[in-house]
Amino acid sequence: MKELICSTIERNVVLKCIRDRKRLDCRTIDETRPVNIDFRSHPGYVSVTLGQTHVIAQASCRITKPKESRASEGHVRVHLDMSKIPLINLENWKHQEFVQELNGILEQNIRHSNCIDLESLCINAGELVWSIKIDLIVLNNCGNILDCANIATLCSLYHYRLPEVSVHGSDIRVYSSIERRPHPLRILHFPINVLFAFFIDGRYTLIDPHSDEERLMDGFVSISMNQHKEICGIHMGGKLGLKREQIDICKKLAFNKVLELTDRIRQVVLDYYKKLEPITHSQPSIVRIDNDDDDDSNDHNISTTENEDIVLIKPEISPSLIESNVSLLQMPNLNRLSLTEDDPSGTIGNLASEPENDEE
Amino acid sequence: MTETLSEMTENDESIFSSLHCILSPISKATGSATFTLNDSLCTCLLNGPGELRQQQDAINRLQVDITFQARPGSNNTNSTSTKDKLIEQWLETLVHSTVLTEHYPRSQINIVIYEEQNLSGEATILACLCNTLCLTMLDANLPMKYAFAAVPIILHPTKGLLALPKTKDELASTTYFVFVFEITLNETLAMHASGEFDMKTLEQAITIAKPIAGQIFQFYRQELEKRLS
Repeated sequence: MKELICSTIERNVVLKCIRDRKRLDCRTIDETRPVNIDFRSHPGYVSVTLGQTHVIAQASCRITKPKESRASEGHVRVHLDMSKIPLINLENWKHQEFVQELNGILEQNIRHSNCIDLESLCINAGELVWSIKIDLIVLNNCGNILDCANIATLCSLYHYRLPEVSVHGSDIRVYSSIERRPHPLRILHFPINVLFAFFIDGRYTLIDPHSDEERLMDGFVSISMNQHKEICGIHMGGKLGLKREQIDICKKLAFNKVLELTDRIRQVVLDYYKKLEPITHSQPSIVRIDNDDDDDSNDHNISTTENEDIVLIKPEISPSLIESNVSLLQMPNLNRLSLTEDDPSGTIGNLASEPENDEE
Repeated sequence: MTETLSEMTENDESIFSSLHCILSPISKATGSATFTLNDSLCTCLLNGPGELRQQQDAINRLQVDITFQARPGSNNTNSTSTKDKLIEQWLETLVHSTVLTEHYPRSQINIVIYEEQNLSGEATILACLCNTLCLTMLDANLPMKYAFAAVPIILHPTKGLLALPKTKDELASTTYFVFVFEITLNETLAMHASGEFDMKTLEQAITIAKPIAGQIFQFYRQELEKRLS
């Protein structure tokens, strides 16, 4: 499936509008489209729409061996999949190049900015660590997939709950979500990405381009920043030559958007867990708000001990279903791991169907 | 994008509270729909009819390409598992039987179905996928011989046959049926069953499922009317 070709008339109309500092959807040049964040009942599953651009994200975890050079750090991987949408720029190789570029930017923003505390993902130093993977799928491309995917990744990471693990000597036990409530990931800061599109030799700038505008842009600058005014990543794509003052203006604009979005993401996830009703396996609706962020300005991260009076109800569930409960957990084939309390002798349980792949 | 919630009728046996649907959530697709059945949610999008790739050979009929994407991350690799492939093939037979493929020679349609949420077992998700597919094809205005609707029925160890089961009941049972009915004569179009049962149970299940399918068809009609009014 290919996208529609952009006609010359369309191109001229859009460029004329940009020269007059107007946009086809009546936004100002520094206005972003409304963001809509929706969670599903599975932890880590989020569906984000930025205007009409729609991206879904799902987080999953695995237990793997750590890298030898970093024996006590877990892994985080992000993968953006754009194979099901119509080909961008009409050619398969251009589409693939675009996908790879976006994947690279996302990886730089999430992995290299250290937004997750990787040492908190360690189970047994040198032997076992958690490896988190975020799978992003683009459902609809209406421009600016990068920002949408970035927001989806952050929401998914903040929403995800990691199963509890206990280490007794050489015995390692992973608890399902009925036995012990899974805990959230330790996120240190939120690197939010803001995309600026440049037109006509870099003279005109737009924030958050629509799909028509994105097709006609000369190039883009994507600035990834957190609320502490630290730049987590900056990337320039396309054929552009820019002055330093232009980048400075972009940074200033980006910072305002970053503040709004960081608050929004935090609020949305907290609201979700506050009103979480007991789902299938009767997860309790207690929210354990950890003080994971070193941010002083956030006042609603207070410990909520008054909520912990709700009784955990354990329904009768046949043992084969417990594995679906441990949210998307894959286990390596080691003898010392046990999945449930009933199996202390160290057999793996029902999840040993897939032997572990080689360390990636 | 039109979002519609169905009203509750006074009928005690009304199922409309467990069905929700959003038509055309994805603007760039020819047709798309998001459908909720109890605790399962699916999104489907359809692109086409469009150009055929050179390798494919469909001279006098429409080529149908279905991809089913389960929740990402549940496999180690990104490829589809064998169970998902079975679902794809099953849905493809449904599409082939209902779409008038002779009207679009040398063209193809691409259908992608995403399973977004699945808290119950397989019966509800299969039925949800079928219904989402039908709504998507209706949303895309594809010429069809009939609309179809799927009804999940489980055989609970103590409560007997239950149609449109709640999650708790479904997780407690091992035998389930999914029947697909078509709208014109309310005949069975396709079925899928798993577990231990005898023919009498099967026939009983079909009789229970038929009126429910009628209600689902009413739901489709309501949604499309709301959209077109």
